[in-house]
Amino acid sequence: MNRPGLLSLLLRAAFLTFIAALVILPLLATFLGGFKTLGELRAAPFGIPSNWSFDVFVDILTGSVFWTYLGF
Amino acid sequence: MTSIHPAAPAGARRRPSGFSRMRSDGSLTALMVFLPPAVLLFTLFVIWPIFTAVDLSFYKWNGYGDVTNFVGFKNYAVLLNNSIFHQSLFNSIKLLLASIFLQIPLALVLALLLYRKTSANTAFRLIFFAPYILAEIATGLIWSFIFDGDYGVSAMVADKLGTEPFYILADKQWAFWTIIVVVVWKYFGYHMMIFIAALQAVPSDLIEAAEIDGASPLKTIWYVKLPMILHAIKLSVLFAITGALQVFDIIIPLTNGGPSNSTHSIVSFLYTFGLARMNVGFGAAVGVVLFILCVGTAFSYKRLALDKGGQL
Repeated sequence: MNRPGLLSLLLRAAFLTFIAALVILPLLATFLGGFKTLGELRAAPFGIPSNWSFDVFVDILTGSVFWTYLGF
Repeated sequence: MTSIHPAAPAGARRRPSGFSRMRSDGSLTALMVFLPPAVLLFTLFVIWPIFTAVDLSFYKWNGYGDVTNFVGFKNYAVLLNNSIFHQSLFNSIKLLLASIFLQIPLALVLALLLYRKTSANTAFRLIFFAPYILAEIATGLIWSFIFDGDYGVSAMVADKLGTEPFYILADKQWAFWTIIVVVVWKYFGYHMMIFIAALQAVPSDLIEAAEIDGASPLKTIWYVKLPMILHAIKLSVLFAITGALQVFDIIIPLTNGGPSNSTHSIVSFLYTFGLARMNVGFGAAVGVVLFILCVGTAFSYKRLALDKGGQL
């Protein structure tokens, strides 16, 4: 079996990384969006949050609605 | 039964057919015990709703009170002359073709690149499968941020290029492409996993034999790997067809059928014009048409592709 050349390996890696970026970026934006304020989410949906706020997570986990929908 | 075919070849061993055979070998008792619960549940939750839908589709009913206003085939007549329904039918067909001719080739290429068990491949597989796990509504919301012409990626790209902001979700000509992109984005990993599982089951001595005979990688794929996973591809196409006809919860958060009802699928059309507008009889008629379309497509596909050659 002849080994695949360096060029084809690079092309393969580039293609896979490109598709992976297309998949990950929206997911990452959603994840980071959870730590932003609504205003910042609107103004800059992509990018690192300027200050990491855990308020929404606290709201969800301490509120009753989420647990009701989860079945408790 | 046997007396009807006296000329049956003597060599063919006559098996007593169905009922009497089951009675003699005792499987009839098992059938009597184990079949009723399944039949009952199936009837209650599958057959009965179908017949209720067919029944309701002949009435004009807003969802409250008694069903009394019998209108015959009027719901169907209205439906067939509804230009929004034509558009939604056309959209569903577009989505179906995109699922088959964009999504499955992409999934196939990725599966061929990733099916060997290495840790890098596993990482990539995990990433590509992630969108499938995500809830459809969440997916729609994420992508509506991305396509947003004021704040999203769409706006960033327009800003970089120095052009006017492009509101793709509000553009009649292009809005449906966003739905195609999101559907492909969400489900290609699922098809890729089916292909990877099938490729891993291909006996490696076949591939090695082809390589020893001097087949190039492309020829190995075309003459050995693809024929060996043909059954998986056919199954995948079936999933793509039934999935494309049922797309609903990606459209609602993304475009909600707009602009001017140009991006409905059949199901979101059903929901918007049947349920949201309290026209349950009309919605039932859409549901019946959708059901016939789905069953018709799935059965004819099964006949044409799956049954051929005895695969599956």
